[in-house]
Amino acid sequence: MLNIKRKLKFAVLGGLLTLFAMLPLLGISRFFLYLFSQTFIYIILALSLHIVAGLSGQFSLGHAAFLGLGAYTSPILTMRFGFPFWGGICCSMVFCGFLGLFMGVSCLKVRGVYLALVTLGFGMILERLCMNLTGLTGGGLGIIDIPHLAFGQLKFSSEASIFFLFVVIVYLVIYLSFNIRNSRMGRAFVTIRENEVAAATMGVNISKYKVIAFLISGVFGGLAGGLFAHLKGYIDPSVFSIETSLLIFCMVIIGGMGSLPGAVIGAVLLSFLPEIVRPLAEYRMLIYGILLIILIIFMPKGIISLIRKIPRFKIFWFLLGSAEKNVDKHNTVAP
Amino acid sequence: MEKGMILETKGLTKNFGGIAAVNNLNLKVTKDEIRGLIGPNGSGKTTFINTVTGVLACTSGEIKFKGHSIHGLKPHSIASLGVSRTFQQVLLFNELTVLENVILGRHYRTYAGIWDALFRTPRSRREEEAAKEHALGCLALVGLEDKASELAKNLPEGQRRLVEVARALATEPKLFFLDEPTGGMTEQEVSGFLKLIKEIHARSITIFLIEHNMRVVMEVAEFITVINYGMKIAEGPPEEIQRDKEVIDAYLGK
Repeated sequence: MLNIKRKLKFAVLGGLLTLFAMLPLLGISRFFLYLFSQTFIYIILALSLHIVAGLSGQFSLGHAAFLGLGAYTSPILTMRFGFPFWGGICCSMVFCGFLGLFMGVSCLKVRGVYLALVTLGFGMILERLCMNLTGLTGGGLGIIDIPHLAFGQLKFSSEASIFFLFVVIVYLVIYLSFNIRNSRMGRAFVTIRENEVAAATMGVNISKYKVIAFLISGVFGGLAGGLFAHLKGYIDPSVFSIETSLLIFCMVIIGGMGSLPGAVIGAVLLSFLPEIVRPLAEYRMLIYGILLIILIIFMPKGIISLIRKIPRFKIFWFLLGSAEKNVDKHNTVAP
Repeated sequence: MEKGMILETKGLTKNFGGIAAVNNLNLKVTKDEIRGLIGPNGSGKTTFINTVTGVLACTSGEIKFKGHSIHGLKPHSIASLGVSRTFQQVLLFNELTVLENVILGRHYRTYAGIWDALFRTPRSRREEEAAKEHALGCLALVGLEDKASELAKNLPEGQRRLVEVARALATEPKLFFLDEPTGGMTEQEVSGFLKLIKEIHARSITIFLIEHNMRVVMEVAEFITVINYGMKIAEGPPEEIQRDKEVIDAYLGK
């Protein structure tokens, strides 16, 4: 019985995901496809922050550093040093992984607001470096004419093909993040958030897991950065700005801190909201800001808390299953 | 080091500012005993546990576990030698389920790494199943298996204490510190808890019990140490302690 239920769940979930991935075939405008691709990048970034802040409770304001470093690494390597695109993206991930390691180690002694400030510093340092290493980064002008991704004969230059590529990558990242939460490591992350003393006396090496959280976060962030550069076609040092960090932070908060679906929802909402209110022209940012304030005041635990309350969304939880609540996980052992 | 010693402290001292919470404490715990530690409020009982489990660094002195110095080790290293504990104020992971709390106790008995976590390898799945099985066993021992999928924060205080015990047991400790475990329990729960302590002890786990409830200590402890102002004032079997003049003075005042 349970097996059938599980298979049904996977079939429905798989079907929905495939249907969504087929979206470009419906003839959606190129603008919206582009917007979707950009949203996918923000989803990866939100998940990257979700691991550090949502799961491990380390409030980083430095995620623009990952986005920026990733966004500079791949174009520089592919355009100036003749790396293949896959190599460029991989290096983005590796470099940002190292940055994450470094960030994690330097954040071991600080907590809360102080940690946020230290991580913020990383973005600022990299922004300055970028401005001044003109030979490598193009300085304040940035890098223009970044080519679209291409793997061998496979060229991802049309909006639809980029959508297909990104949607697969985003599915993979979501899958990995789900796995993390339900693993030994993910549990260790959450216990650090919940209570460091109790975690340590149960044998969790807190320093190690904090650094690992930053490392994984960095690798995800680097991936997002690499894709970002090749999607946009140009980058300048403003990717490192605090606005970017805050935007990612808002996504995780508004979606629902600590919840993976929440991070995804937050990323989608904050990517689409500015476009939805675009017809309001110059009032756009005003409305956007007011909406944010309303959301935070009335849903401090994020949109996900609202969705949890609505019984009609039961199907949602059914599909996500044990990843959110460990109820049927338990039932598999003692029915 | 004598044979059969599981824990030994020599001249253990912990200062907070100018105040010595634990003052030159020499203590020996024999393997497989149930040791009680009592003392008036603020006499340094909890501070003693905190220094031994590495939560606080001691100011001076020596701590040996099974003959090896554990002085200066991080709490997680001490834990993985087989020292487990509960807390005076229950410290559970509130947003996790009861089962997850107890599975966390399996942390250093399992080995899945980053790769296993990301890709859910067969090895990690097997390990996870085994950990879950073991954790459910521990929950069954404290009688809470039906609460496994409940969030820890939703349980009443008495049950939260039991979850904490189950979590500590899941680590398969050699030495188990219980810090005022019957606080917040009803009389009936206390009786159940006494039975539980004996059951745990039967699994050849050395128990070190801090208690305020005299009935509990006198009933289960085989040997009792009394401290006041961080110093040992008496030590002996329960009957002797009950008659000890200095102990009575410390508790009732002269």
